[in-house]
Amino acid sequence: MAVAAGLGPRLDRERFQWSSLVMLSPALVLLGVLFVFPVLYACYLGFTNLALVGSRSRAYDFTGLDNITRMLGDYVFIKSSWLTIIFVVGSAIIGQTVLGMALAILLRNALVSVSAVIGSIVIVAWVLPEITVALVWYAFSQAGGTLSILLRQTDTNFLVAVPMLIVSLANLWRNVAFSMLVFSAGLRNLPTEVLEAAEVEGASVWRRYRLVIFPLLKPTIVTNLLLVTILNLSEFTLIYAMTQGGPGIETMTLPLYVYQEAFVFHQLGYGTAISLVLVLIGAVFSLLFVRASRSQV
Amino acid sequence: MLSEVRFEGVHKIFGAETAVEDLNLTVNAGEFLVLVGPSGCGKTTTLRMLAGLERPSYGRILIGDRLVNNVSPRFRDVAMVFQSYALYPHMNVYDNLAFGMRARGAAGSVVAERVKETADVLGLGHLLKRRPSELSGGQRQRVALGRALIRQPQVFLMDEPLSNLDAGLRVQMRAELSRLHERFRVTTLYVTHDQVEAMTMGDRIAVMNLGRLQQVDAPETLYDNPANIFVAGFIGSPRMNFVPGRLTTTQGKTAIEFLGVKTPISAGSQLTGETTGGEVTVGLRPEDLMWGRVASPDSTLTVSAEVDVVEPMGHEAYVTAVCAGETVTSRFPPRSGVRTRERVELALNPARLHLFDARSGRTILQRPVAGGADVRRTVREARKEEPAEGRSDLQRQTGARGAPSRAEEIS
Repeated sequence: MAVAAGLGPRLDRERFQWSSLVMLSPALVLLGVLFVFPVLYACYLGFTNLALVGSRSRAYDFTGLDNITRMLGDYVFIKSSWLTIIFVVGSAIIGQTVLGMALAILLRNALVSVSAVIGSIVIVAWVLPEITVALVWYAFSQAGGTLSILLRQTDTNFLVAVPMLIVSLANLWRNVAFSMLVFSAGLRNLPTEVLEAAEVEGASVWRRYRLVIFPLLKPTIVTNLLLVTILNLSEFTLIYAMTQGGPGIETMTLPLYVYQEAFVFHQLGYGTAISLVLVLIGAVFSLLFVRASRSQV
Repeated sequence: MLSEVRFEGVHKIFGAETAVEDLNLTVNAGEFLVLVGPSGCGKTTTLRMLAGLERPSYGRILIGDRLVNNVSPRFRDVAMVFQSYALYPHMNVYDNLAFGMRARGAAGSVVAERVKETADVLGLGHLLKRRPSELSGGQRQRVALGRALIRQPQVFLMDEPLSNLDAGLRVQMRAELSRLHERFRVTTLYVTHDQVEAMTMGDRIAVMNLGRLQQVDAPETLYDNPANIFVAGFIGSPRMNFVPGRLTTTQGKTAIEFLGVKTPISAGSQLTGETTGGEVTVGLRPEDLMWGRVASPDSTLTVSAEVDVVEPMGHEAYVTAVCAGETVTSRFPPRSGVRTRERVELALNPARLHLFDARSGRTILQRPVAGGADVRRTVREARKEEPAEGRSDLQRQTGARGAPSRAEEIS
C-alpha cells in the first residue's frame, strides 16, 4: 500500500462497461420474463385467495397472512410437512447417500467385469421412466406380489401396510445410481499416494475410510446431499403414480398436497403458499449443508 | 531393528509389459542403497513391490528373514516417503506425524512425546498446528520425512523425495538426508533418476534400465568401472563420450586404435573379455579429454579437433568438438578463449580409457580405481569393521532424540 501512495488511481482496476448491457440484454430479458417475474408473482399469489375456476379466478384479493394462519391450523399440511421431511431424510439423505457410497466403494474394489455389470444394472434403474418404476414397485408390493411371497405374507398389501416405507424404497431404488456415480467419481479423484501412505503407515481399512477417505470426500458428500435433497423434495410423479397420496393421506408429501389443493380443490392461492413452504424447507437444508462444508477443508 | 532386504528372482509384469525382470538385489542391513535409472526403468515398481503396493509376478521378496510377498503393507514395518509427499491435506502437521503411531495403537502420551522429538529433529516444532497447504515445499518434505522417521521402521523407502524441490533446497535436503541416515542407520532404499543424488547419497548404487538391473556398486566403483555402456553413459555429467575403436594384437601386445591414434593397453588395466573381430566402443569421460595446453603430463595421447560448441559453466567450460569425424565433449578450463571452428589439440591419458564390446556393450577392460584401494572399499566391508558401534549408536540416539544439542545439529 505504502508503495502505491501518490501514484493516483490504479490502472488495472475492474471497470464496468456499459456496452456490455447491450450484449447481455436478450439474456436479461428472457431471465426476467421467464424466471424472476414468475417467482416474484408466485410469492405474491401465495398471499391471495386466487382460485383455479369460478369468480375468484378473475377477481382475487390480497388476503395478507390468511393462508399462513390456515396452514398452521391445517392438520393435513402439518402431517404432509412431516412426511416430506421423513421422505427426504430417510430415502434421500440417509438411504441414497449411504447406499450410494456403499455401492461406490464396493464397485471400486470389485473386479472390472463385476463392477461393470453391477454398475450398469444400477444405472438402468435410474434411466427407466419414473412411471415404469412406479408400476414395477406397485406390483412388487401388492398382496400376492413378489415382496409378499418373499416375506411369506401373501395376504399383505405392503403398499397399504407400510406405504411410506415402500414409496421411500422405490425412490431409493431408482435414485441410488445418482449418488453412486457422484461418489465413484469422487473416489476416483482421491490422491492415490495419500491413500497408499495411510496403508503403508499401518492404518486398517476402517481407519483409512474414517480418517482419510471420508474427510477427503467431504466436498463430494456435501454436493451430493445438496443435489439429492433438492431433487427429492419436489418428487411427485413416483409417489402420485403409486399411491396418489394414500392410503388416506399416509404418503401425501408437500408436492402432492400442493397439487391437490391447487388443481383438485382449485385453491391456487393456498397451493402456492404451501409451495413457498416447500422452497423454504429446501433453503434450510441447503444452508445447513453449505455451512457444514465450510467448517473444514 | 536393522534388517536386510532381498529381492530373489523378482519379476513384475503389467499386461504385456515387463516392468521388472529377474531382479536379484540385496540391500544390506543399515545400508543406504540408491536405485537409479531413467524414467520407466522399473525402479519405482521395485520400491512399490517392497512396500507391498504392488505384488511381484514371480520371485521372492524378503525383509530380514521374513518372506513378505503376501504380507499387506500394513504389516511390513516399512515407511515410505512419496514423491508428492502424500501428506493428509485435511490434518495438521501434528496429526500427520501422529497418524502412523495412532494407527498402531500407541498411547496418546507416547505419541505426543515422539511427535515432539521428531518435530525437533526436523525443525518442525513451530509448524505443528499448520495444515500442509500452509507449508512451503521444503517444510512439506520435512513433514513427510518426519512421518517416516517417527515410526522407527525396519526399512525406509524413498521415491524421488527431492524431485519437487527447487535446486538450492534439494542440495540442502540431500545433505540432511545423509546426516539423518548416518544417525539412525535404518536400511534405506532410495529411488531417483538424478545421478547426482545417487552419487552423493548412496553407500551403494543400483543402476536399472528397461526393467533389468545393470550394476550394483559403490559410487566410485560405478564411476570408474562401469559394467556396460548404459551405466557408463548414465553416470557422469556431461555424459561419457563413445567412439568406435579397434583392438589389434601384434607380438602378443594388445593396442587400441581410435580417433586416428593408436595406444597400447595401459599397464594397470587388464582385458577381461573377448571381442568379436576386434570391434570395440571406446569410452572417454569429458574430464579425461583435456585441452592440450593445460593437460597433465600423463595425457600422452593427443588428437586434433575442430571446436563446434563452447558452453561456459563458470568454473569450467564444456567444449564439443569434432575429431576424426566423431563428436566428443571435453572439459576445458574457464576463459580458455577458444571459439567455434577453431582447431584445438585434445590430450588424453591412455590409462583413463574405457573399453566396451561393440556388440554386447559390456566392458572388456578392468581398470584400477582412481584414488587407490581405500576408496574402493565397499560399504559391506566398511560395515564389517564397525558394525557393533554403529548399531548401538542407533539405539542410544533414538532414545535421546529430544536433546537440544542433537536438534541443533540437524537444523
